[in-house]
Amino acid sequence: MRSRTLFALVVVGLCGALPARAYEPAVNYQLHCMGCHLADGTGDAERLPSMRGTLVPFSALPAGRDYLLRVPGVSQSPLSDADLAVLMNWMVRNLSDVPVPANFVDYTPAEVGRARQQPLAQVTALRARLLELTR
Amino acid sequence: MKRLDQLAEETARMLARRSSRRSLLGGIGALLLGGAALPLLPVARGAEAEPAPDRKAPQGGAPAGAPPGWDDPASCNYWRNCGVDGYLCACCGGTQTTCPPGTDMSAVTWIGTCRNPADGRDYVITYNDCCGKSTCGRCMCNRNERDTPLYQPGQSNDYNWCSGNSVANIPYHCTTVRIVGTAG
Repeated sequence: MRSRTLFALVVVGLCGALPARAYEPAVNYQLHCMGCHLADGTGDAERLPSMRGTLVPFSALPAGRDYLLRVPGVSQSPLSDADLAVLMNWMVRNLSDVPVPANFVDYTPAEVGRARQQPLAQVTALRARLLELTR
Repeated sequence: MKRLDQLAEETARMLARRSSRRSLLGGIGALLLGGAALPLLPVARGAEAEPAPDRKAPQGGAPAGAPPGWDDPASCNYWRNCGVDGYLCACCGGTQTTCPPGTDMSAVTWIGTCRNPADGRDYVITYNDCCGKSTCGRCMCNRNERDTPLYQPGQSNDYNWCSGNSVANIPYHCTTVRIVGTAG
């Protein structure tokens, strides 16, 4: 009887330690990004540039990957490093007009975890520089 | 006048000679049956809206635990309104998914999930504000379920989402509740 109680306590403890709810990346995109970036990532012409042409070129550069993981919406999102990495890889493959190259390097939870420690404050200037670099 | 009488009499007599009571009954019967069968003909019904998920729900009574008004878009208890902070467009000349005349729908929104008591599933809801006229003022609803603080803007309903749109004008009028998917 005692061992059964102990087992129940261990199970309850484990459940408490798990994150509240894990969603598919498509749902996480809807919940955490789509409100501003819209369903297809086109955003708003004036204030919120489309990500459809930049996701893949930026991801090919170390500075570009760093930028994508440090923009406020990513670095300060309530998602875990692991969920964010999955979401980034989903976005690259589902919201890009630029074909994903065969040698594309997937984002990893460790990479996400490192970069998001330093959220970007000045987004626009850095984005302009990256656009020059990837032109 | 006499000629008119004669004409009426002749017509009535001819009708009486040529038609039996049975044929009259048969005619009426065919009319009734044919009329009933008319809506079954294969005409285009593309314009008919598909019933919303909440209307497909169980027949006879609300699901267990559902509050009164859970399926009424004009009620704050309507299940999709779980995260609303504003006026319900269903009370303002629009519907739960469309803006009232004279307003534009904001493309940027805050987004959350609501559980549909009819099937127990969580749906992803976008709370698109309707903008361009002063506040509606009817059916104020402030449930705020899963609303996040302002520093997590994507899921915060305290922003005026009308001001984030270059198409819609700034004034806030009312809020719609649109299903964009299920949350698995």
